[in-house]
Amino acid sequence: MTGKRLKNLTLTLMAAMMVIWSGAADAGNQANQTVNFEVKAINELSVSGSPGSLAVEVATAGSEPTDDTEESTTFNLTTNGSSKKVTAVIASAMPSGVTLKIKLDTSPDVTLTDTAADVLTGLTKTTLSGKTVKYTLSATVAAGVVAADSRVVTLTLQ
Amino acid sequence: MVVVSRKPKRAALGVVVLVLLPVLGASLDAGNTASQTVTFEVRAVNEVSVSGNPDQLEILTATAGSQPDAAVDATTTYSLTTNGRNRKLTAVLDSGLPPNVNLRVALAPMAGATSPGTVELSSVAAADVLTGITSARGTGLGVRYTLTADAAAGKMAPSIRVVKLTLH
Repeated sequence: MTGKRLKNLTLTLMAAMMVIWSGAADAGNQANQTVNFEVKAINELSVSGSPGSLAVEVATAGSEPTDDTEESTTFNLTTNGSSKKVTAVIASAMPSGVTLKIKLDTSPDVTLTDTAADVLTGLTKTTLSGKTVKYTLSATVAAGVVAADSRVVTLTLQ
Repeated sequence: MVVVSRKPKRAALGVVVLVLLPVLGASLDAGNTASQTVTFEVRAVNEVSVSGNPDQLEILTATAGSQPDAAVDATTTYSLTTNGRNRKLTAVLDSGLPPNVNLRVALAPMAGATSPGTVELSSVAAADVLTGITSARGTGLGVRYTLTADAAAGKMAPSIRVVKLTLH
């Protein structure tokens, strides 16, 4: 091999070694991953079941019949939203002179009608578990005697 | 010498997209409602009470030539609640009165009721003292007792009778 050819070969090998060296360094000790993530709106509401029957059946003479109350059921709630509320509605109105009210936890009593009403408001990024649902049945003397009946109360977290 | 040019090996760069899905997924919209079935009833309500017992009724005076003056007491009241229709209130004595002695009662009616006025009390049969009571309630309404005794009744030791009021 001539000197010139040896020199060229040497330069070629050195260049190749540099390429190999630099290429291996970029590919071997690093790797990237793109992670996409999201937290969607969570609004979950459940109840423990249906309450026992309510009956207005006594009064203090001279006064309207005495209310009956029931608070054996509870509700659970989870929301990661802001300023959420729970509304309540019944499919059809109560008989004349008869009123059904609902109270969730420490909220005020709310009269149930066939128009959704706010029963719990200002819910922001919170969980509630095992909180009391209280129903109150009232009837005036004008209601008369009302045979056993029922209403489905629909609670909505929105 | 054979020189083989080798291309540098390059590490394969894979782009991995990791999507974090919420556990609840598609059930979120369905889980924001809950329902309860509320069963209710309004039963017959019939309640009557009195404020207490009247003062003792005493026949003490007379106008000469006339029967003794009646004794009257109107110190007590009654209260009543009913969600029924066309109810009535009756009154009866627990035992009869001596001959020539009469005890009568009158109850002030509330709205929705009719009073027959002053009614003579007997132990034989309950007498209607209020009728036509429908979906009514009243409180603190007057009860007026009137005791009369003819001269033929003579002098009598103090006696007691229990008046039973019943809302039918």
